[in-house]
Amino acid sequence: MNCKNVVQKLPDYLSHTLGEPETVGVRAHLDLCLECREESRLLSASWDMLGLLEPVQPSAYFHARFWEKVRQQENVVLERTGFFAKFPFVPALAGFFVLWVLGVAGGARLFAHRHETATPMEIALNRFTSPYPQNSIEIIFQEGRTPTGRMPVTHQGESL
Amino acid sequence: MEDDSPGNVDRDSDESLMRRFQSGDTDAFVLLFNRYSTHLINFANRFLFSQEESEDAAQEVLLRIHNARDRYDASRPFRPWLFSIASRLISNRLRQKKRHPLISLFHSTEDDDSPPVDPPERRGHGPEQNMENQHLATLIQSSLALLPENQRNAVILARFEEMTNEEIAQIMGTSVSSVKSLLFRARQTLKNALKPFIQNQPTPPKSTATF
Repeated sequence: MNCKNVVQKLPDYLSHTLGEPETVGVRAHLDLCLECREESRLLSASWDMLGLLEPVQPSAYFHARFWEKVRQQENVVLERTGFFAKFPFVPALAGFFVLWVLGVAGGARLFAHRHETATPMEIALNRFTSPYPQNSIEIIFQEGRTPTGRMPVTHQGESL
Repeated sequence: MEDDSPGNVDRDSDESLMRRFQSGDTDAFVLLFNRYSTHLINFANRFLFSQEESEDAAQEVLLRIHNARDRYDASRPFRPWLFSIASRLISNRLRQKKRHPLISLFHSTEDDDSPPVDPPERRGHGPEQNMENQHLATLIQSSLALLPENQRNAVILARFEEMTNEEIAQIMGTSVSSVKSLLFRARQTLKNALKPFIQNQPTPPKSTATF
């Protein structure tokens, strides 16, 4: 066994994971070769030195903090599996309904407002485009006839 | 007295505890938590060099285990599964740290190449011994920091978690031969980094851990 082979096998030799015949071969080489023996000593010592790093201990609140995290997580899961998790469409539906109510209410208000206060332009346009004279209502109530001479009828054809 | 060391094989083995936890026994998870929390903190600390960050990372790993209990296959060994989650998570954190480095207000800027050290508690030593130990801790951490992430992962799993090459390969998602290669290169780097200190020592430093 030459030095190159031995150096390759040293980590396994030092961790006792080398097969019996190879272990004997490496040991025999180390007995004779000073350079490889020094290499083996340095490898072993540097590996052992790592053991001098003292382990850290968990801080006082390590356990408490962990279980607090677990509790927080379980609360989130409970929230997710509550009413809205079972019926996920409810919030969307409720939102849609609110928007619909707002739309209808707003539209109705706008419609009413527009009919209460026609703009001067609308009044002028109405005057020119309407087939009825401006005093149609007065004619109906005072003279008992419509401006066209025909009585208004309902949609069903009954006379008013 | 109950043997609470990781990986013991009995009714309280990691796998049977996970099975019990899967069937709703929270006490089984508490046993796993007590068994592995310190291991995970130290595993993370050897990458992140900060106890606060390491505790945070360890808690995240344990929380993932807690949440992923239904996905765990109890026929497979628990430890490699646990440490593969820890490795991935720490790797992500290291990547984030590289992208968004934070400069500590309390860390000296004179020696920015060496990682910040959380001095371990040392009772019964004088101040000189403390300083020497602190210097030694810095030296070892600096040499670990020299290693690329995958080499460091292999070294930490082999040296501190005493895992076999097969287990390391399983955790890292690679072959046994590439783990051997990673460990070989890592040992060479560590040897070269620590050589000056070792040669100044009259006798090699003693360690309780096996090689």
